[in-house]
Amino acid sequence: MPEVTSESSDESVIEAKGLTKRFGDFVATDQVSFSVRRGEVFGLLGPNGAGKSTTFKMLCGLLAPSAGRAAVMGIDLKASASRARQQLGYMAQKFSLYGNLTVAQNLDFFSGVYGLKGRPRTAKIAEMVEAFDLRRYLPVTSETLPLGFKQRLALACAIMHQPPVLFLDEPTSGVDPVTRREFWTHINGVVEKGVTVMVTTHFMDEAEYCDRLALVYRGQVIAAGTPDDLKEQAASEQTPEPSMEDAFIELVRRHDREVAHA
Amino acid sequence: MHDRLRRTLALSRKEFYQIVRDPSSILIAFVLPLILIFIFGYGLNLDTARMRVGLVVLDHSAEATRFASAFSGSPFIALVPLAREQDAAHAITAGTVRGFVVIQNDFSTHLKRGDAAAVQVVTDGSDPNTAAFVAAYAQGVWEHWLDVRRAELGLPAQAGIAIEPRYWYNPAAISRYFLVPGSIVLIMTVIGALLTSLVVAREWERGTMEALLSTPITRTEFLLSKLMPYYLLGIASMSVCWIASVTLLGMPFRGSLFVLLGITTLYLAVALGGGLLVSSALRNQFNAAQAALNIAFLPAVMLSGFVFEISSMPPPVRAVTYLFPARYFVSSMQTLFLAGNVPRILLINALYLVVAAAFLIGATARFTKRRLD
Repeated sequence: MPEVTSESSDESVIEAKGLTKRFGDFVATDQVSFSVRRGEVFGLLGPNGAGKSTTFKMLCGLLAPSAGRAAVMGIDLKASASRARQQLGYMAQKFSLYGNLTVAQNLDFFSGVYGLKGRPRTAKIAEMVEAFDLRRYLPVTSETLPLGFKQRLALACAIMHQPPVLFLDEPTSGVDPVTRREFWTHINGVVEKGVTVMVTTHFMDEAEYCDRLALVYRGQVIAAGTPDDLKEQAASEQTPEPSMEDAFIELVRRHDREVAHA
Repeated sequence: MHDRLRRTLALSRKEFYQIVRDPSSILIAFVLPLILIFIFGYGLNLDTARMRVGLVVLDHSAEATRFASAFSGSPFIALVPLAREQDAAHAITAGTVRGFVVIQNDFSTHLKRGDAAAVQVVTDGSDPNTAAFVAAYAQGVWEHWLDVRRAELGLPAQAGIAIEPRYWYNPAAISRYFLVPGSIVLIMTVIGALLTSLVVAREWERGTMEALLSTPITRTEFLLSKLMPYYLLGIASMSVCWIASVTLLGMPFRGSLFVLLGITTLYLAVALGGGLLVSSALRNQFNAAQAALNIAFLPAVMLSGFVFEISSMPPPVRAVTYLFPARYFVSSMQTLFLAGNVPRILLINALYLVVAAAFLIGATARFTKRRLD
């Protein structure tokens, strides 16, 4: 894949500022702010129902924020949604390709929807088929693919237009650890080309693949930093070297205690 | 602008793949029309042929016997001789005859005296169409027989009015000619409203909407990609219907094909708009199909004038028919097939269809969301 044109390496590619989403009385995301730098793998880690998916969907323009601002590549998602969407690739949690179309037809469709044409389009599809080892599945109806290949196809469709930013919503839920690792080698390949990745997960091994994490709990970011930072924050006398899982549980408990005291 | 076109084409092609891969859409677009055309063309026939009618002759005079024999020899009636009135009543209850004629025993006496002779006609009113036919037929036989009798007796023919009906536009009064254009309307409604009621809801149900929403596709592109493939499918189906009607069923077609294409385009815009509207609003295939059935298909059968004549409906129902676009298309189709290009009828119908299409597609656009919430 060609390099994404880089301007400066530390500019913020994804930005959340006071991002809030209310569903009636329920606040799913409460004043969340962070920024993701170019080339980072940024993870939203949190238990189910913590609001990470809502936050994530506001950042890729699928949900409108009740308050605050979400921007991708400096483009406000509210003001110019279509332009911002051209800059991002999105892979939904649930398989969201056309199940009754073949692998080839799905690739053809997504390349067309992102405005690819002529020879570059053919070349791009060929490149994806090669990179994700999809050749023998091309004439296969995509709903009959093995799960691992469904995910590869979904990833291929999401990055066909070479977006500088890639959004992955629980990309490996439901697959075994071996397939998950293999999927991450594909993601790392994308990152090497300079693509910024934002991922939601509740898998600890997946969290370890991230450069930085934001721990989302009850709609708020309760801790942020590299995986090692988070472990360090959670370290105590009883567990001086906590695992990611230990750190996760400890930080959530600490937050609950603080809320109870307040 | 180029990007927009390319995205719309990619979406339309995808929609086309989905149509091709889904055998039910092909069945609905091409096989159903043929089945319906044949059912309405041959099976469902409002013309009456060979009805069984009972005949009870209580008067055994020569005159009564001659009158009775006037009833036989009709291609439309199968005469069932019965001995007594009770037998006839029994036969009508059992459904073996559709009506009966009784020649009373004082028939010839009255006739000689020159006053009203008693011929009783009883028909099965549970089927009013047939009942009216039996009554009219008995009346016809009676009048004809009187004329013949007068001529034989050398009496002057009764002065008066001889009515010779002519059925313009459908000289043989074949009900098929009236039903086939209506059944084409039904087919267009199924393709337009029922098939498209599924297409947006399907994207929501299967989660593919989420993938679409994350792409740069705009609302207009999305709607166009849903309208165009099904429009082409509708036009292809209309071609099948037209060819089948004109060649296989021998229907006349007196309008121009160009006008047919125009009015079909307008009606498809209405039906597609309606289907997409319920699909976008309900986001559930089953509910959307139910809604399309109730607001598009049933009115197209009941309130369009396709089978049930609108002018014979009670005024409140007649007023309701104006709300359903199918009536304007039925009227246009019957006009084009049987009468020709009649501008006054076609323009009014076209105008209404334009308004309905604009309203429905506009409402659909409002319901088409660019986000998940």
